Amino acid sequence: MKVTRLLTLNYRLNTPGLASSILLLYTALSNSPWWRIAGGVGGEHTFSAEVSPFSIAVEVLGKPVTIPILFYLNMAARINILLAAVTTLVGSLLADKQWSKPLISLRGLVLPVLFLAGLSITLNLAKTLAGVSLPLIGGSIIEFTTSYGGLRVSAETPVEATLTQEYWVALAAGASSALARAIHGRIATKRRGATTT
Amino acid sequence: MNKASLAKALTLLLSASTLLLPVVYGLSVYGWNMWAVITPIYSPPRIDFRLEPSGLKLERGRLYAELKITNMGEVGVVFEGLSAELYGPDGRALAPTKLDRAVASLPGSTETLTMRLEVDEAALNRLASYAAEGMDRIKVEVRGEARIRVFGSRVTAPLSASYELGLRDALQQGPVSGP
Repeated sequence: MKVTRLLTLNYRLNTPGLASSILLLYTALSNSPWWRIAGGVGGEHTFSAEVSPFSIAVEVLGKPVTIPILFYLNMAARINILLAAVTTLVGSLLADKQWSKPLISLRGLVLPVLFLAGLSITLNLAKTLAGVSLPLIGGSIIEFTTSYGGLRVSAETPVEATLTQEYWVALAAGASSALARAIHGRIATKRRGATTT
Repeated sequence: MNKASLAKALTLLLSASTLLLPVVYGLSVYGWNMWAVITPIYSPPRIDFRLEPSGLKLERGRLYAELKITNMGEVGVVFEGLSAELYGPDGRALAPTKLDRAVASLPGSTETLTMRLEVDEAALNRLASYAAEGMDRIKVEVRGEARIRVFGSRVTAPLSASYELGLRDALQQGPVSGP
């Protein structure tokens, strides 16, 4: 109870929720990728991808690859997280109101988890359908053989993939929102109890 | 409906709207053509090379085969190495062949790839045997694999080029060794 009291500044404010909303705002307004992968050596990239729920940039042999729907899905995710940040902020500031609990959004936690799951599924699909084994984190070498002008051409590409700092910030925002949600009920109960007595 | 339920319903409604509206808008932009919005758009760069054997040359006691490379595509490449052999008219290997130096081939340019032929005593004997058979000029072929760097990938591609070799000139050069 002491921890809750400390985290809520004596049951007046949901500080983890406040922290979560600030981190969510930063995450939603940032254009930096959450995950980055690049294949190639010497500063040259055979392919590269910079992915986050809010923007996706893929290049193969120096030319962009675009899927029109992704732009709109990214826009939807960005607006949705901005909304979550705003409702969480309002809910955290009005922590003593009984109706404020539904405003503390857990979407900040769901998104990084779904993002990682989606990446894993996509990479597994790439392995199954195209036979290209790309790492989620770390390095590997992909080898493939193709035909060019009737000749058998084989290629070898070192690949490096990493989850960026932005991803960990988003995950921290999510964890913070989960904590905010957990303590929010106690704030309302305590305030209600205080009012009754 | 109490305030908590109202707040919950409102956030759910807003959340669903913010998820659906951009997607619906995107579909309307593309004329409700589902296929058009999910199909990847990509036009790969054109990769097009013309390789022409441009002759054999003897220089300071060494034999070099030259290959003219015209890059007619949009991708720059670097020829980094070669693992090839020089074959005589009877298909027997005469000499290993190495790339004299790495060559960068930029789009729209023509470069010369110089291959150094390591002609040793055994190869000279073989050439002498062709001369003994009454041949003055023979057809030789450089055949093997080129190591190329393209956009940071290491690519191995087969390479072959045919040349005519004047036996008298070649035999006058004598054996060649060392880099």
